[in-house]
Amino acid sequence: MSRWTAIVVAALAIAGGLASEYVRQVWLQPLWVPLTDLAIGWLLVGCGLVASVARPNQPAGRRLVLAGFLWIVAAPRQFFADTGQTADFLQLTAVTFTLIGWSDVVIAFIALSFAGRSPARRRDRVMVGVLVAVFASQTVARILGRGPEIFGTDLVDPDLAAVLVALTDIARICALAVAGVLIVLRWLAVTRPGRHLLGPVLLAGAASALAPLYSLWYPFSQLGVIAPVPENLAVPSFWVTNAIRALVPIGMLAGILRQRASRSAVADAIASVGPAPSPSALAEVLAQALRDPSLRVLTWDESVGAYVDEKGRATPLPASDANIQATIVTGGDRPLAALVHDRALGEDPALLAAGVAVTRLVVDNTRLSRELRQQLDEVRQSRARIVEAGDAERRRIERDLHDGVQQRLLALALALRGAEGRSTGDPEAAEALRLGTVEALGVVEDVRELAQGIHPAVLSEAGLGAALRSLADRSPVPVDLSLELDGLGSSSAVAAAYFVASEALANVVKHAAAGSVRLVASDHDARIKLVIEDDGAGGAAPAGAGLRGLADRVAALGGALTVDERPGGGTILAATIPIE
Amino acid sequence: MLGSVLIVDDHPGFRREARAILEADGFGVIGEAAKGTEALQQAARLRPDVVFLDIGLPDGSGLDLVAPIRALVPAAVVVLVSGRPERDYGERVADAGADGFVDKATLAQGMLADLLDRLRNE
Repeated sequence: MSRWTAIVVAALAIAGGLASEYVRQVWLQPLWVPLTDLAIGWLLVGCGLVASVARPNQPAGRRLVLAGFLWIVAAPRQFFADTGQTADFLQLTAVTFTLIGWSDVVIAFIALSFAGRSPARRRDRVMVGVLVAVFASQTVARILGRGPEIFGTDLVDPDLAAVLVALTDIARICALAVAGVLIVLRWLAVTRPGRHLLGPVLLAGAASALAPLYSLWYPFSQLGVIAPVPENLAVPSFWVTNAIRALVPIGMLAGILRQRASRSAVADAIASVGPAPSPSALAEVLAQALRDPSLRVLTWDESVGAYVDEKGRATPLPASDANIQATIVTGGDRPLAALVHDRALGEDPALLAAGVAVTRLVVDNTRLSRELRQQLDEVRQSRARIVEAGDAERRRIERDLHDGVQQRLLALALALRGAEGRSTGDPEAAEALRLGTVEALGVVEDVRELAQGIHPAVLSEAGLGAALRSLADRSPVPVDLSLELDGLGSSSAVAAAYFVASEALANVVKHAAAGSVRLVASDHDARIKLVIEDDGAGGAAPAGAGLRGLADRVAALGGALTVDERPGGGTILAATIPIE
Repeated sequence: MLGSVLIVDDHPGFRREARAILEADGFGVIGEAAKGTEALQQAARLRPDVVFLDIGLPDGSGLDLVAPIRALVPAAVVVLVSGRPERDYGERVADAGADGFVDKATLAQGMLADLLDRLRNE
């Protein structure tokens, strides 16, 4: 219900209440009578409106408004019904008199059907039918009894009409009392979480249905079965029943808003569960939010083809019984999870739906996170495999160059050298052969340089320590070497460490204008740690192509490479590479 | 004859050219071996003055043969030979206990005779 509709309805209720009291000729009565009437009517409408605005999907609020208007419309009859006094508006008040008690039917209906649209149990639906039939018969009996006021003539024998009115009155009060008992039974049947949710509405409904019991006295005294109600009891009983009536809308409003509070607790649960809680953590939060300590979350495991508990054990869904119910949470057309909960939660479909929504959100999110992690893991492994395959290929090419081209070039150089030695009688030929030897050896040197760039043989032959020493020996800038390396063998991590050191030293020589470099390498905890520190100009660009490529290579192996300014000038490059 | 030499290398072409160069320089090549096992047999049988030992052998590293050969022929000069420069082996050449190292490229440059003379005189 929109706010504007609520305002219009409230204005109608105020005007209707005042008109009703005017018709009732309020000036002829003690002030507390109309005030009590107005208070009950306006409370019913007001609480109904608040509930409708706060919980637009819950029909109980609108039904409460209807009960309020029925109360207001039926109000003018009471004075005459009670006193037999006649005055103005006789015909109108006689008509409204026939509507006595219909608001009670609506309130009983609210209690029997809360928190759904209609009663869930067959017996409760039958009860509503009985109430409507009994109240309709009473209205008919009252119309018959008020023939002179409404139609100007008796429709039936007045004595018969009086008996009919008394009997239907007894039926009305008894039917209401039975409804009250059913409401109490409904309250007893639901378990803890259900009682928390339904308690206020059911108890208010039961009180409203049972309160008129006292007035059985009137029809029985009218029938002459018992003595008339003593004068001194009429006023206190009026106060007691009207006090209960005034509490009914307040209780119902509290119940409806409590539902809303429960749902906001579910919203809080969403906020508190974090990005990917375990099923047991989710169950704990939901159990608290839905007030069902027995609640369990079973998640669907596609690989097992079954629901599994928080320890991953396949768990069949429990058969639904009077206390337990399983609600399946689906995502698209596939199962995601099952909430095993107290059946009473089903009494509040919207609350259960909120719990289901949270579960769907969390389980789906957890599944997506897991899949994402798996994919990331696969990508990471694949990236490492690509680097390793690249390294293996580089080693193979280096070996092929060494064993193939270089060996043949060396054989050629040796053959030329041998021929030169044997051609002592021909100086020109000897010179040509000498030049050929020099040329062949030049090509050998080129091939070695090429092979060294592809994969330094020293890594395979002598390890990282020897390779770093060799780098340091060849560096034009003096290198202070500190090595704590032990039996690393040849691997992609070792190759990456070597290339990092090689690139860093080359950068120092090219760009840093440094006086000295310190190179520290160690392997601890299955990691190679490398620090290259120079005292040069600083400003090494981490995004430079050489370092960028090495950072990628190191990252592909699960390591990290950082480049920082050194305090006091210079650059510190640090790399940590896991040894696979 | 300046001395007797055993050439250990798996490349026949290299053995042939090395033999020619060594013999031209006045050395007497008394045996050739293509594998480590053959090298040990030949060394024990021929007791050469100089063993010319390739590192990259098909049945193992020449680096691991220096000590057994030295045990068989304690007076022999053992020279390691490789197609790679010495720096590629780090400390391993020195650790192997050989008397010298010859890069095959330097062999072609005619520096072998000088090296062997120096080693023999030491």
